[in-house]
Amino acid sequence: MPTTLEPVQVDEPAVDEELANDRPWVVIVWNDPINLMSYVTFVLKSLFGYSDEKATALMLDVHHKGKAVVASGNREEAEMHVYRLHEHSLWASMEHDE
Amino acid sequence: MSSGSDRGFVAPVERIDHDCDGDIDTDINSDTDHDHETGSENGPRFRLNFDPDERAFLVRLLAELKELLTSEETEATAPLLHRLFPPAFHDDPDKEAEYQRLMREELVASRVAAIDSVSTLLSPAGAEDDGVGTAATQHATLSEGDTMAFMQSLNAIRLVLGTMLDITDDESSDAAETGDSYEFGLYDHLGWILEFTVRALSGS
Repeated sequence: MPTTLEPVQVDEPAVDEELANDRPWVVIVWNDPINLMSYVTFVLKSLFGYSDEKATALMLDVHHKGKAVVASGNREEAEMHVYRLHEHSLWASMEHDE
Repeated sequence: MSSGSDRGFVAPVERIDHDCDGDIDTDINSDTDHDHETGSENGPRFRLNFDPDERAFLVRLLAELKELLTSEETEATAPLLHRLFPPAFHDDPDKEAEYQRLMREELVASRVAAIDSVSTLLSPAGAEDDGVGTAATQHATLSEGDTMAFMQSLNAIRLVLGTMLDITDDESSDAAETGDSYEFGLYDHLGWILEFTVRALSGS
């Protein structure tokens, strides 16, 4: 939100470039042998508001396939998701959606 | 959960019905409760059923975790810290460096805030400061945010312990369950407490 009425010089090319690069990101949780399955399910429910069924399915994907995409979004959103997963000690990372 | 058939058994962490609660409030964690806008006044309450020795022991473990988080990284602590602060970008060193630069300090602060509030909740002195008194300490209740902080901190301790025990795949995890060293025992015990904490928070 601008706090001044003065015209602001905008560096438009840079903005466009940034937007063009801002392809969707996916947030990945990787399998780890230490975190409890019930804990992982609970964290996914509590951070993303997922149902018991969805969170359990994602947790089982992580457990059996080694990883699962648990969320997606622009870079800022994905980074916030990763941060909160890290806060809960889940092994999370993010990458561009293929 | 089979507590109904197991008479005399007391869960380490339990959810309290609203009806029989409301007189004791030790919600000291409201300012670190940013993850969950639960409205600690009206949200569910929880109780920790630990004897004084176990409380003191947990406080000591929390202090060790805080020490690890706030001390200079050494060769010995690097693998533990790596597990607590995993990389966000696996294939992009520049973005990863930026993430660590921007987020790591915040992550440490968040973890330390949780540790501090949980330590206070577990310490008799902390409850006294709150005007609750030592006699009531065993029955002081926690908000949902407090209990989340307890869960996160305990899980972090267990993660450090598991990393020290070299539990790096599901096979060694299974071995840990049958291990009988002191560390394996503690690792298992923390898992047991965590399991109940998750159940209590899940409302079951």
